[in-house]
Amino acid sequence: MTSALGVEDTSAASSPNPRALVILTSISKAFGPTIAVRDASFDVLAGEVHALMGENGSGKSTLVKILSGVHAPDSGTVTIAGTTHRSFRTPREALGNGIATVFQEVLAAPNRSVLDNLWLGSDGVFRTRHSSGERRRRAAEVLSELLEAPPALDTLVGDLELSDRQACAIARAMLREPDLLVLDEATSALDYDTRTRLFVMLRRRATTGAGVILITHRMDEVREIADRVTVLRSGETVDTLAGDDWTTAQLVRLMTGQSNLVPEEPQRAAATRTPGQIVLEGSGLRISQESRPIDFDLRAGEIVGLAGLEGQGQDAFLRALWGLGGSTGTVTRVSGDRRDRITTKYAARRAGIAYVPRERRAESLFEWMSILENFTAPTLRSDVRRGALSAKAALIRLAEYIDPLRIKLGRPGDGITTLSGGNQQKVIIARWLAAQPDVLLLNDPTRGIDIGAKRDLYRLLADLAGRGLAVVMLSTEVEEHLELMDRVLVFRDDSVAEEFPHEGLTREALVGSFFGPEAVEA
Amino acid sequence: MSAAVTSARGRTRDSFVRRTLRRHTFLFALLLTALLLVLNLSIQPSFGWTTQLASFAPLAVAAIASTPSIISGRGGIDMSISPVMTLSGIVFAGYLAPSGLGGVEGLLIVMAIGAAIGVVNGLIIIGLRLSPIVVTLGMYFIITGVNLKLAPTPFRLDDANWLTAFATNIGPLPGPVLSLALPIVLWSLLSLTAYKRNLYAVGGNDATAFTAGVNVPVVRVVAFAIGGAFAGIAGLVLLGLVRTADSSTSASYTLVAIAAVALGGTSLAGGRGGITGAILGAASIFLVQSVLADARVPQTWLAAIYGAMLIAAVVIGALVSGERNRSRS
Amino acid sequence: MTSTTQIPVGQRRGIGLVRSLALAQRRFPLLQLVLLVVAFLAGVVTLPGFGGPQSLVSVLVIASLAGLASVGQTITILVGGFDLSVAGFIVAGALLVTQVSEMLEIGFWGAMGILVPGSLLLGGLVGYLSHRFKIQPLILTLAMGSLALGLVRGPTGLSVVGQAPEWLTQLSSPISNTLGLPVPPIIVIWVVVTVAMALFLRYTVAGRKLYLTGANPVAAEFSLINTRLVWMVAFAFSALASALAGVMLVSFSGNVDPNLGNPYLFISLAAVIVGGTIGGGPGDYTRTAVGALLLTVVTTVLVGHGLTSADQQIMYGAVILVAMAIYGRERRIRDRV
Repeated sequence: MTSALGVEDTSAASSPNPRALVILTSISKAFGPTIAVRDASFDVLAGEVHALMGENGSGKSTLVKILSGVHAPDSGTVTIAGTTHRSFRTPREALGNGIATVFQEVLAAPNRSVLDNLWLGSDGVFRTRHSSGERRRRAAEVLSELLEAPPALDTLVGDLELSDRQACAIARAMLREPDLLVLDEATSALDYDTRTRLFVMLRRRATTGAGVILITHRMDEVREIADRVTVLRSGETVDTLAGDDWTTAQLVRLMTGQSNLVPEEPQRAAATRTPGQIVLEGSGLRISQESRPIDFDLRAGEIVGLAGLEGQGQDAFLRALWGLGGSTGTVTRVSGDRRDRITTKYAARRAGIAYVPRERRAESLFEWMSILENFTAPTLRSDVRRGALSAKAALIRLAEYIDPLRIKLGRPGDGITTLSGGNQQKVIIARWLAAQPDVLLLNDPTRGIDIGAKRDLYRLLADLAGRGLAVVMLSTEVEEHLELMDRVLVFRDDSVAEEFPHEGLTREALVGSFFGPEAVEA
Repeated sequence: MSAAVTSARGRTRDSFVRRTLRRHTFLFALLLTALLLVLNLSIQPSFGWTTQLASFAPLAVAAIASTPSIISGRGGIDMSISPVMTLSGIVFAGYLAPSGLGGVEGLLIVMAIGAAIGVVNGLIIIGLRLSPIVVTLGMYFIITGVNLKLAPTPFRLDDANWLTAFATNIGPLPGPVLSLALPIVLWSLLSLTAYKRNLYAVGGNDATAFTAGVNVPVVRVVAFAIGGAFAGIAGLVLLGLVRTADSSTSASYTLVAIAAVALGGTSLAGGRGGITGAILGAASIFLVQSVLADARVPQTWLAAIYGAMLIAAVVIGALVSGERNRSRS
Repeated sequence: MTSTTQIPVGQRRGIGLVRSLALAQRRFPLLQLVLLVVAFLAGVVTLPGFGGPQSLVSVLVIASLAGLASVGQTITILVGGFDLSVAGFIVAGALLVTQVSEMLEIGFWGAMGILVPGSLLLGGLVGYLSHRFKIQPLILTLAMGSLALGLVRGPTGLSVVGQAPEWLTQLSSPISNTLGLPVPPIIVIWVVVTVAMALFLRYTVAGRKLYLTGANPVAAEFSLINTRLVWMVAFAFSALASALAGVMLVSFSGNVDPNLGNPYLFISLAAVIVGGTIGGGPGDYTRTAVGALLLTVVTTVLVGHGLTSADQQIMYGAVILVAMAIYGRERRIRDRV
């Protein structure tokens, strides 16, 4: 299948090189109903630095966890140095087979010394593998190669800066002298100097025959050090491109791929929707110490999208709008002549702002409770009749939302877990609509729900916006930004990098801006 | 997952005091012990070191026994230490000594029994993924019942038994110093292996240790086994002092042992502290009791004092380690 | 993001008998009631006089005490903690209405005037400290139980004087009546408490907030529930309930000794766990009441066959372990990476 832009869209990588150092063959992994990796196959040659790229949710992290032994794949094999494995049962086993991983989250033991951190896990439960002198010597060696000013070996890691802590995690992996080194977005926390030195080390290692898998979203890094690039999309390896033989635009297209053959629906009533008064103002919002401050106005009747790669500040920004703090600056609710500062979630609620959290299971669902009980959680007072909670009153209120949201349920008294993910999310959204908000903040509401439920949600949001509701929606789906939003704010490095109006927004332009100015084609 | 990257940027450096306290967690208890010692000596100049140490020793070893499981993290508070102490005393005085096994072999046997119970605790906790407090609480009830069955009336230890010597002077040294020395030496020997490093890593963050390749389940089970073995020692130290094994003492040391550990700076969340803190914490508690006795405060207030001390200890411990629930925004 | 395949709601309907029984068990303590009947019949068959009215009344009185001692435990377990201060507050409450009231000559109601605010204050403190500093409630309640006991015992010393007022002992005497019914008042009190707790948990906003906090404290905070207040109230209530249970206990045993409360610690834990209430929910007090009844009947039958108090302890410990193994498992390490 060839896209309109004339790029070959293959769904299987070229057949693996049997003399490769590491070969992944048809890996798949599902967590319950969610398929994280569908079919991933690629190989890494000895002496190669192999970049792995993909959007949010493409399956990169799961693949890393499979390689490092945290999870076992449902099917597929990993061949390293000639031996084929169905899975690594524990990280210890993976390490024993020559695969060392550095994870995206800085996994350092803060109360232990640098020395202990570097050698963590290399011993048995009782048996020490190296003498004390050797431990100190080799640790000092690796650190001085990686860092310009390495910390003393007895410093507590918790006292180090973030970049140095990440360096310790990387040094730990290096000390194992692995055949395959996997770095999962491990460079994002490093400062520029350390990153450069790391790349020098990686090159040097590669010349000794080891391999490196580098997962990164920074195009400049890929250009600088990668010999080949494999692209993942929706859990599948899409293609592997050789060293210099690619353009940024090509990569972006591979990562985002074709849409679901759904042409732009005229369902968008944006043309007929004119934004009303300003309802929410954010000024001088600073998410981290060095980020640029953000100024933001939200008007009634508009739907604003927050986009970008994971962890670029959009999550913190949205939470700040609901008074959850975490950033400096002010958020003000404007209503007629009233201006109320929002500093707590209680103030936000009083001002008519509602927030639908991101992690459905962890932050929204009361899993053993019923649909009705989940629905009424923040609005219990509305059901009080003569001093007691009236189930009848709650049922009546719930009924108001079942049709517009198209919630499919058995009985309201059934457990919330009997519903599909999409319907659960609808109940959660109904929960907040029942609080009669003027501003609705949604944090990645359609993650992991089926297409039908998504469409229902878009319809509802468009309808509510048409009636004056102001919506800010963080989304990791490019489609949603293209279809639904009046304007889209792209976040990079904890600040708003670009703002796109709906008119004329293309996928390439949007996704390109995730990766940085050099990725945006003219 | 992504939130960690955002929030990890821009850290504030902890104050010097906090950092020093984190490095040497027992400093507060050291200070407290010193103050209490001075207070004690000023009220009662004739201190009687050996007898005081003899009364102090069981508590200190009980606190030491509670430490490894707490360090291993995930709420690893072992509630069964006290009943195991009583059990070892009962087994030794009631069954081993009368059968001619009242020598050093008796010590080894009760240590093995304690370790075995620790292993059972550990396996249930880690194998079934249950909360350590609840499992050890269940074990506490079970062993208390076993103690009642084994010793409906207290057993008496022969005065000539070698254990009793440790409550008095042995040559030039106070016996209690030697009995304390045993667990301390054993724990120090452990430093020659990689175990302690692994234990502290697991206690600090078991997921990190896991991904780095540490065999987390084994490390945790061994922690409970060590605690059980030390509890066996503690039981014999107590037996040597009071010369009876009484099942009603099953509950005596539960509260104070944990209070001692917490007061000594070992975080109940795991990954920090050590037996120095446990001993100093036990010393503080013991000295408080001593001061109260000298000041003629009735015994009946003891329960209130211990309770208040434990509460203060865990709150201070939490403040020092900076754990706080900021959900009030 | 990634596509999902969900099991359509329709397909879930085809569940077998075992599944539907398990679902019913969720709402109603079926299994426990069955076991209760079995245990009772076993007693009737094997122990002479067991089913007679005298013996029934005594069993119910003992069950009432166990049940009343478990009220607070149910609440703290529902909210996601445990309460080890039950024994301490029971004795504190008992001492207050006997020795202390006599020593200070303030009478029963004077003692209650100390008991109620005192237990609420101490319990509330536990809830606050536990929530604010993320300290295990087990440790704090253990300490607080000791503190409460000590605060009351300190002034009274070691003397065991002080009798309960006559009317108080009448509450649990097997021969007393309640308003014409041939049951001791304590049983009626227990029934009333059971009904009141059921109403509270099902039909009040506070009860619902308790469930929500226990089910998912993070989601509860997002739903604008003040979880710190919920914790404080839960532990305050538990302390009060235990102290009041101590008062009831005095009525039964007539005098007070410091070990009075000890068995009730494991009885209350076992009753809640056996009744089927899990940490953080689901569950309710009715289940606990059934659990208390079941445990009392089983224990009475076993004692009739020679079970000692030592055996009881072992049994309760094992019961707790088994029940936790069924209900209370945590996440695997690899899912927390």
